[in-house]
Amino acid sequence: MALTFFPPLKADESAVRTKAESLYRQHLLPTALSDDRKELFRRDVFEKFGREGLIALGVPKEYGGGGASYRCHYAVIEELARGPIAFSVSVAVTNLVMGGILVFGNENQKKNYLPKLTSGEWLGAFSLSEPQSGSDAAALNLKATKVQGGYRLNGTKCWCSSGGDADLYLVMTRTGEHKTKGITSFLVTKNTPGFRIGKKEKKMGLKASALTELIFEDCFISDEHRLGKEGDGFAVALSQLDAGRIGIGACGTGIAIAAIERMQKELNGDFGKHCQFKEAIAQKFSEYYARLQAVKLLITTASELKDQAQDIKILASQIKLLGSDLAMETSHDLVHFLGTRGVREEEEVERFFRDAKALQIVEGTNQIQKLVLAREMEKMA
Amino acid sequence: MFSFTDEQKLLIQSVTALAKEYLAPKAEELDEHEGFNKIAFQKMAELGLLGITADEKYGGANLGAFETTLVMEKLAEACASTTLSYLAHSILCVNNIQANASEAQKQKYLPKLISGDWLGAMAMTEPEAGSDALGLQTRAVKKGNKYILNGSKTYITNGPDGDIFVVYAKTGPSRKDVSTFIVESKFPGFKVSKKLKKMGMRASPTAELAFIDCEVPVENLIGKENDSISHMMKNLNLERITISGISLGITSACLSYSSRFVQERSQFGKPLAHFQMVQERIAEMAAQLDAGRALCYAAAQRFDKGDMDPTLGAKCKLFTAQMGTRAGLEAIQLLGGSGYMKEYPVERYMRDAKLLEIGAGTNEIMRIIIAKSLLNLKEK
Repeated sequence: MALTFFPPLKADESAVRTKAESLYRQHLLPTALSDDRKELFRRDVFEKFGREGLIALGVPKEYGGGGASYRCHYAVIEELARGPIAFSVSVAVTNLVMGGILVFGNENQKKNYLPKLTSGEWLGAFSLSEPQSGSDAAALNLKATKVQGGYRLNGTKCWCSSGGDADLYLVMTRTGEHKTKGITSFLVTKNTPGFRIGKKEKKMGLKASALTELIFEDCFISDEHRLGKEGDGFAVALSQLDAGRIGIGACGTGIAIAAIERMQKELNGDFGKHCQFKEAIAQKFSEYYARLQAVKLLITTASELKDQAQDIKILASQIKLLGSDLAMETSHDLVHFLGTRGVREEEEVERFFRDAKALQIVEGTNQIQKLVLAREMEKMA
Repeated sequence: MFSFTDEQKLLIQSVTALAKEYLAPKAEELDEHEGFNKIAFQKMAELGLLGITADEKYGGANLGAFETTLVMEKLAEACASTTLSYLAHSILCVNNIQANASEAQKQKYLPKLISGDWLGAMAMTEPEAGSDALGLQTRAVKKGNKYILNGSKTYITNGPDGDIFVVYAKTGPSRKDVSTFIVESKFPGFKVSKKLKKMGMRASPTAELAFIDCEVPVENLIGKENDSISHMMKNLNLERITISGISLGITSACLSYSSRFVQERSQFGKPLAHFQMVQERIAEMAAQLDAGRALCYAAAQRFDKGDMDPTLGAKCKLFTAQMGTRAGLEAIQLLGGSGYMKEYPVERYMRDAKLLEIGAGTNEIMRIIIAKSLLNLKEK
């Protein structure tokens, strides 16, 4: 029995979500444990999702997208996060690249890249972070020097999700001195000379999604690959920030749903029969259910406002903060209450917990979300 | 802020040096490959740590719960999982034999356990008896000059490579008819049925054991038949006090690593340490750590004076285990993206810390022990 939430999805949205669910149950869940151990991204499944029209639900139909509501898109992201969340991160990140192209791309770029991305033929990556520029995103330093017909890129990016697996990289570079207006973004394809993948990071969770350095050595990128005007780069990054944060929040609610449903199943089974703390556990998980409904309502509201192109900065930070914290707490309690079973790899609940921690860090740490909200509150005072 | 005798200071110094030289450099690799630090065990044997509470005549150091807790803390600052294996050996196995076995049994088993020739372990938990420890189903039936053991044990630290196991088994019809046996891994019918893969504490091997008509000589019964409950409870109390040292060590490692990091890392033009939200986390972690130390050191000293109050161990473990996981999660958050990477040790600290909220009695069981004692609740 699945948890009920309000308001229910519309019939067509619900059908899309059900399709996503049946696909991941069929193609991702059976190998989730070994994919995690082997740090394997399932390209074949990604392509299948693309063919089924599940990768680019929020993209207009003329570019091969689903033309669906954002609520539908986030419902799929959430659904995927109930399974191996690393996969839903790859889908969410590809959407950031498509989003950047939709807002800032010229007609040529849209026609060249969007159909490949929406169909799942190409995987997208979004590269902002550098070793000295994490939370302080605009401090980035990767140099792009203007030359005849394009730019020469020199420097290193770090922590690029899907690095090595991706075909198209949206890369933020420095072209001028001004902290934010001196940033320019480029669309770099994987086989560009002078561009290579550096070290692949080993990490605690999200293992089935690669995280790598990107290295640029005298890499020539033609003017046609610049996204937006020179100096638009930070605006490109910011344009995808809200969508990214809601995406992470939706991954969070996905983990929380998975954790609550698993606990429910355990309480109804053998575990519940012998458990001395059933009442205490039920109290905790009822509270999680209430908080989960609240975060899902925030996502619904934000999606509707995004459909109408309204400003959702505040909601996006709230969703990211609350959704990731909820994922962390529910998965932690699930591991905990299952006891020594909870820490065993084979039970597949310790993976939720390891993955959830990443959600509190990526797309702006939760401390950054609080800074954003504090600043917005200051303006309201 | 704590005072130690000269002997204790010397002990801390030598254990810190051992941990730095033999535990810290191997911790990351052993975590990755689920290995076991044999060399560290040899070095601990040389320092006399493997029989820390055992009599000197068997090669032990004849120290108490307090010193043991200090040793756990110092070792765990470098590698918590090796420390957990050390605890299973020195407290769950060696100390159990020291405290409860006959002279002949001690002479037979302690010297080689303390010299590191043999690895020790204890087997209590079963697939159907976790928090409900007395629900155990492994049976021992006396036949001639042997006990025949049948059943299975699980989550046994040092299980895969252990030589000597202190094993609890049922010898009568009532829940309290529990007896203790010394079982050698080479006894017929003893089998390591499975090595378990875990989230953390990965350099501390864990196994499922099977006893299939396992033959144990009658002289390997510790104490009398059906008489193990009281020493089982005393051992658990000591285990919970000393294992809290591991949580102290992990928290201390989290604090020192993240304190260094936030001073070195700058964002928005200033070191992270200059942000109040960072200071708040560091200060909170430091205050918690010293509160945890004060609690554990005081409880250990009470235990060493003969206080049998089971809430001593329960309070130490409840407080410090939660503190350890929280410190691990906070340290990851303070390091941000770096904290999530295997290249930095803090995500390992957190994965290791979590086990301590579960092993040796879950937080929930600790709360029950404390509540029962305070609220005068009777057993159902």
